[in-house]
Amino acid sequence: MKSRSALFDEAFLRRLEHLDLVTRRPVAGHLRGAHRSRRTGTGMVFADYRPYSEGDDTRNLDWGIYLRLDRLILRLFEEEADLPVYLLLDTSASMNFGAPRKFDFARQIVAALGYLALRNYDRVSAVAWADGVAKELASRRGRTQVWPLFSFLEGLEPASGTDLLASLRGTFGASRTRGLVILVSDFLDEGAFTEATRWLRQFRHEVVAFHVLAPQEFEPDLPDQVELVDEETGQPLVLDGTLPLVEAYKQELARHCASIEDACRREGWSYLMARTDTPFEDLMLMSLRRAGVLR
Amino acid sequence: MNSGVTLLALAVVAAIVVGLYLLRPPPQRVAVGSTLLWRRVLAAQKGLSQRWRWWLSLLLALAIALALAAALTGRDGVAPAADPRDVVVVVDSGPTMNAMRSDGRTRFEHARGWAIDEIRRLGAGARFFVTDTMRTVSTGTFVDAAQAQAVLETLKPARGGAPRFPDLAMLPASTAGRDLVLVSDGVAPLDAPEGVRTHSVFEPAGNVGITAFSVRPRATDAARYEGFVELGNAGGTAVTVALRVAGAGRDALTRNASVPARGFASLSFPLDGFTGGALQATVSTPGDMLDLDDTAFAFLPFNRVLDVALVTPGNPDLERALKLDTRLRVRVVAPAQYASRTGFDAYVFDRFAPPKPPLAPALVFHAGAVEWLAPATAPVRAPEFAGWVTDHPVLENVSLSDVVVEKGVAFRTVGPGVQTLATDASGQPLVVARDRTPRVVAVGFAPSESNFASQASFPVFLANALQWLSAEVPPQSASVGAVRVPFENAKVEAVRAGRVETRAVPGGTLFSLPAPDFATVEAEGVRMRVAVNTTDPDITDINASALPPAAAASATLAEAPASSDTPWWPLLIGAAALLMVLEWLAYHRRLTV
Repeated sequence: MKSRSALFDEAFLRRLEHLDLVTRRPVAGHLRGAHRSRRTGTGMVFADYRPYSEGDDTRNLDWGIYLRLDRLILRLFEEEADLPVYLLLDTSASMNFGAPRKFDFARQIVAALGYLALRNYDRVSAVAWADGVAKELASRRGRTQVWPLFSFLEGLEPASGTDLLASLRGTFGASRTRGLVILVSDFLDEGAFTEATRWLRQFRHEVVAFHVLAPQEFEPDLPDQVELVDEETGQPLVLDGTLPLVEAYKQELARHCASIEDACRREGWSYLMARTDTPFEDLMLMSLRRAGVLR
Repeated sequence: MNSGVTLLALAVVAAIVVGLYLLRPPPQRVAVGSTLLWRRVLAAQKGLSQRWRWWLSLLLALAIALALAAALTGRDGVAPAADPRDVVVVVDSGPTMNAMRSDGRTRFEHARGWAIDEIRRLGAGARFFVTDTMRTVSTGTFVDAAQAQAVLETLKPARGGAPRFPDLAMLPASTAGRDLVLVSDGVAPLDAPEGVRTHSVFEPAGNVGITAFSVRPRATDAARYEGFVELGNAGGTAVTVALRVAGAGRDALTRNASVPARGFASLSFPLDGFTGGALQATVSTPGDMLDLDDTAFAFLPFNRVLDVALVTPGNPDLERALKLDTRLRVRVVAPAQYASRTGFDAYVFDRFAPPKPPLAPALVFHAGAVEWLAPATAPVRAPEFAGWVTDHPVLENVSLSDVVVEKGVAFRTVGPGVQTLATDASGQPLVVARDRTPRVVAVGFAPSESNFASQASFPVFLANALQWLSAEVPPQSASVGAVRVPFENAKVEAVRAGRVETRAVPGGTLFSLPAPDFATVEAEGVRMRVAVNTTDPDITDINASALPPAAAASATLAEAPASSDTPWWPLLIGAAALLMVLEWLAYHRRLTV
């Protein structure tokens, strides 16, 4: 596939074609796909036997058993279904920070994973969220939908504040098929992250959380007297960029990251720290495979 | 600087500080994705708000700047406004004020420094009359602080003499209330009048000094001399000191002596080997805080042969009698040759007298009528001695009772400085002595005109007379400072000071020596020695103070208006330094901006 997007070059897309999204549980897709589902049907993998009932597909009768036992026994196969993939990209203003921008890095993650899902004929929905659902790309399927997805992502710009819970409510408030939720954010949310995860848990989605942070957030280089301006609220905060304060900030950041990771692990979700200074190819080709998100 | 200017200066400083704070560049703006975590950090630190920190910082800066400004202006004399007053400051400049204190400065330096500080403290609100107990300086009238300080700067402590409190009646009249302040170590009895506030600069100190040094003939041999030294110890512990006596003719003589605590010790030692002249005694003691009394001088008489000219037309008896005396070298000179012969230590005139007085002492027998001798009456026949002065050195051990005189003259009157030594029956003087330089002994008859030469007392008379005539003027003792000698136009040469400036005063000469020394005074052919010493037990005893030590005295005088407060600009400097440390700590603990 020839790249027409500014998000990736063609060579990288070609390397992505060898990867597949992995789900730990059977999927609940309605359409035929490449993922194992809980339903039995016309798949290739044997699942179970059951007595024949009227109306069953006679092609799955086990004639060997009939000859030995004089009973009609039907062979059941796991049906392979498509995977609903929900790409949730944080477009709050805080994602505008960093060099390179956290937003650009997060958008590349979403685009890459969306590309993989579409290439495997999974149904992909993309949601840009900030303090609520900002913009949404309706569910679509098939390789040809890659370019609308990329176009949708390229049209996004970070703005406004962050409210993860409100965004999740807006996204999953309507009935959504259980699937894979790709949540990409810096998680700099005033609201409690655990509350959001607790709310999302009820839908039994499989969630992969990408925690995107810029290196400047890990190692802030501040002058002695500094007025920090919040990208989201625009409010200033005057402080002294002294070593003890910076050290306290680093400890607070570590606590913050640990709390998000703990919340994800508690729910059985995958958590990945994505520093924007990490080479993107290393993240996709090595880190995600190591984490079991891709294979 | 008056208080108005001071307030203006402080206001300007405050305005500058506030202005600088307002003009401080704002903190650099840095955009971050979210201040969520920073706010959590700040909330966890629970520090002061930025506004409060700013105000605290400003207040600290203002306090530091104002303290420094007030200290700088206060150093130039700014002081709390005081009531106008006249202050008499009397600084003790007596010899004991030369004693060192433990900080290396003398009591006098402490006294003068304290007085200057007090004058600065009182500032423009007072007038001052400054004087000292040795009467060396005085402002003359009440003057302002600057003039008073200038006078104090010129004041130096005396190294000898007795201090006393100045006569209050001599002070200029004061229109305002008058304060009397004395700064002293309290050693010398100053008899300060009632109402005088005293500031003590006394601090106990160790001192061993020479309180007496003299040369005297030995009891067993009057031709030999011994030295006598008395040492005084002002300290509270007994000390062993080394005494060194140096002079001409031999190596220095050293003696050790143990001087009891707050007591005296005396030493006597033979002076054999010294040829005469100045003797210098020096005592050295570890921890001695007063050097003034560590050196003293005395005079050792010379033992030498006198050159005597016998001016006579011929008198074998007299010549033989003189030549029998081994201490004399006699030259017989005819009267006609007298004018051409000089350089003798003494003259003996026999029936002759030169028209002008000789430059050396003279013993005159039956001279003619000359101006410089006591005028004589007409010749008298067979005068008889009726009485004579036996306690005069010339007639000591001399009896004139058997002397028979054939003819002679009686002296008519006795002039100034002339003493009658012997008289005839009518009371007319037959032997007179003039105790003025040069000395003269005049006898109204010649040996050849009497049987005096055959008397046993004649050689005794000659020896006594020549001894008295040739004896130098007895050495004087004087205290360090101004010395007056009874010779006009005298020249003074001192052992340590060299040639000394002199000043003519009526009937004598005045000179000054600032330290123990030995001076030789010469005038009109007369030589006199002056031993200038500080051998005074009252000076050596520098701990005999009637005042408490200085530290205690400051506390007791704290309530006195003219001597209570210490200068407060050092306190302000200290406060500013303390505030700077506080600001430094506050800044690094993020309490200030």
